[in-house]
Amino acid sequence: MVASSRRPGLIALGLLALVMVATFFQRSRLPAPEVADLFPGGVLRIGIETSPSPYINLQDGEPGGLVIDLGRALAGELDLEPQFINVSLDGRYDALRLGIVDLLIAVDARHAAFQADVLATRPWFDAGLVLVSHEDQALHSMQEMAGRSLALALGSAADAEARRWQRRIAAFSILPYELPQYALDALRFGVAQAALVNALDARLYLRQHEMAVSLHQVSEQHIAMALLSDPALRWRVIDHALGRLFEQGVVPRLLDCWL
Amino acid sequence: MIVKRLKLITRHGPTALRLLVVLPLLHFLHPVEPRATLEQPQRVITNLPQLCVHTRLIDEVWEWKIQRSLQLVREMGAGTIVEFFPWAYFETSPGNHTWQQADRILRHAENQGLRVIARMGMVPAWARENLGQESRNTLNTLPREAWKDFADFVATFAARYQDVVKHLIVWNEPNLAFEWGHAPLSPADYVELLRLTHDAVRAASPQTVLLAAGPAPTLEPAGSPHGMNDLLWLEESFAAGAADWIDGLALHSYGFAEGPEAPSSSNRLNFRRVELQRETILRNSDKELAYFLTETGWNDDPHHAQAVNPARRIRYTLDALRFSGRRWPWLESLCLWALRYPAPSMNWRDGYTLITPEFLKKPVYHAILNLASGQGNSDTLWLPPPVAPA
Repeated sequence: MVASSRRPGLIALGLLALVMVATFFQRSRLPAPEVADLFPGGVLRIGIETSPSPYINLQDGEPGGLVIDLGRALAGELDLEPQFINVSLDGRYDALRLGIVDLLIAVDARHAAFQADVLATRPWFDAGLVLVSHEDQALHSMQEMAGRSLALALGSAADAEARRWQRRIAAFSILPYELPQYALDALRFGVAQAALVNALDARLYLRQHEMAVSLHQVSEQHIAMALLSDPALRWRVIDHALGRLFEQGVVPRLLDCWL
Repeated sequence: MIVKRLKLITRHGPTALRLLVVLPLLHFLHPVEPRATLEQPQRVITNLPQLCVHTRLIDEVWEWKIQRSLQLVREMGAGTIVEFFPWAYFETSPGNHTWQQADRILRHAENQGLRVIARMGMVPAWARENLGQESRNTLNTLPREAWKDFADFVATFAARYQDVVKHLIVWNEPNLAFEWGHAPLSPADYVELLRLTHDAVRAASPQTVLLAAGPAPTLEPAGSPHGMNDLLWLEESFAAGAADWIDGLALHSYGFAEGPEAPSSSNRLNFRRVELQRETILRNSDKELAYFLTETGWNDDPHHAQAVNPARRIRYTLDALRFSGRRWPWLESLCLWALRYPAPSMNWRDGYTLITPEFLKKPVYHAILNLASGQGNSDTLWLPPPVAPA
C-alpha cells in the first residue's frame, strides 16, 4: 500500500511516463520525408538575389557563381530540378511566405532568426571577421595585437571591432585604409603586422596573391539557407541534404572554387 | 529490488511534482528592466550648432533605450533631433488621447538638453473608416473628411508640448504616392492641409513654428503615378499659397554616390539639391522662412544601388557638416538620417545608421563626435594605398 501523501507524486510520474511513451510512438509513426510531396513537380525553387552580392556573378545576364552551383548541388542531392528565382533583398522573406520560392539560398542566419516563421539551416559559410597575419609570425587572437600594427578599412565592421579591442588590451596601432584590399596589401608589403577584414574579402584577395598566411576567426557572420518553419519536414530535408553535401566535401570544394 | 525502487519513487515523487509545477513557471520570469531615471539636466556642448540627427524612438519598447539613445545624441554633439509622432499611436479613437510614449521621449530629450522637431503623420484606422473596406488605403491615406481631425490633433499635440517642442513638421514627403496614401498627388491639396493645420495650431499654441514637409528628392517624370519632381512640387505648392501657412520648411536631400560639394543640377540628385529647392522657394515667395535639412546622409550598405564605401561615407558626412556650416548660413539644422533603429531592418536601410540596434557605435559616429567636440580627426582620414617595397 502506498502512503496517500506519495500518491500525487506517483501519479505525476506515471503521467510523465505516459506522455514520453506517446511522444515516442507519435514520432515513430511520422511518415518518412517524401521529397516529391514536399516539392511538388519535382522542382526546387531557389530564391537568389542578383543585386550586388558576393555570392553570385552575372555572366551575360545569366546568374552564375557560388550560390548557383550550391543550389544545383542541393537539388541534385534531392533528385529535384533547380529553378532559380530572383528575389529582391527587401522582399526575400515575403517571397518565402507567398510561396514564390521554397528556400532562400544565402541569408545572414542572424537576420533569419528575427523572422518568427522562418528557420535557417546549418551555415554553409562564415563571412565574419578574420585576423590575417603572416604564417611565420602567426597571430592566434586579437589579444596578441598589443604593441603591433593592424591594417583595416576605415569605417568598416573591422574598424568597429578593432576600436573595441583597443579598449580591452594594451595599445596597438590602427592603420586605416579606404578599402580592405589595401589593408591586405599593407600586410603583404610588410607595412602592417596583421590585417582585419571579413572572410570573404580575405579569401578573394588570397586567390589573387600568393601568400602564406594564418587566419584567425574574430567574429561570426553565418551565411545559411532559410525556409519557412512550417512544414518543418521540408526544412529538415534541406538541412540534412546540406549536411550530406558537407560530408561529401561538396560545399568546401565549391567555396574553394569560387572564394 | 522493485520495492526499493518504488520506495525511492514515492520518496521523491512529491518533489518531482513540485518541480513539474515550478519549472514551467520559471519560463515566465524575465530580468527586471533597467531603470531610466532622469539625470541632472544636461546641455549639449558642440562646435557644430547645425548638427541634428533623426531618431527612431517612437517604436522603442524599453525606456532605458530611449534614454541611452538621447545620451548618445548629446555626447555626439547634436543639439537637435527629429522624431516621428504618429497620430495613429496617440488618438486611437476620436478625442481619446494616450500620450505616454511621447511623454517619455520628450522627458528624456528635455533632460539631455535637446531641441525636438516633431514630425506629424500616420492616420488612425477610425479616420479612414469612411473610405469603406473596398477602398484601398494605407496608414498614410488621409481622407479629406479627416483633414480637420488631423489638424486638431496636431494642435492638441502642439499645446500639450509647447514648452518642449517648438517645431512641427506637417506630414512627410507629400510628393510621393506612398507617403500620400496613394491618393492623387496634389500640391494644392497639401497646401489646404497646411492651412487647416496652421489655423488650428495658431489658436492652440501661437509660438509653435510650423514647417512644411520636405518633398522627397526625386526625378520622377511628369505624370508618374509614383511621385512628383520635388522642384516642381515646391513651385506648385508655393503658387498655391504654401508660404501663407508656414514658418519654414523641413527639406530632404541625400548625397547618394556623390560627395557633398558636387554641384547641383536639376537632372541629378545629390546633397546640394537642397540649394535648388531653396532657390525654387525664393523664386516663388518673398516671405522669410526658416530652413531645416531634416533628412540627409550617405549609405554604406553594399546592397544599396548608390552606396559608398564606409570610409567615403565618413569623409562625405564630415565634409557635408563643414560645407553646410561654411556655405549655408540660412540653414538652421542639418539632420542626419538616422541615429539607430530599434531593430535591424535587415536590408540596405541599416547602412544609414550611426549606431547599431545593440548600441554599438559605428566609426562614423566617432568621427562626427570628434568633429563636433573639436578633438579632430586625422586630416586625411585614411592612408594612401600601400606600395610594394622597391
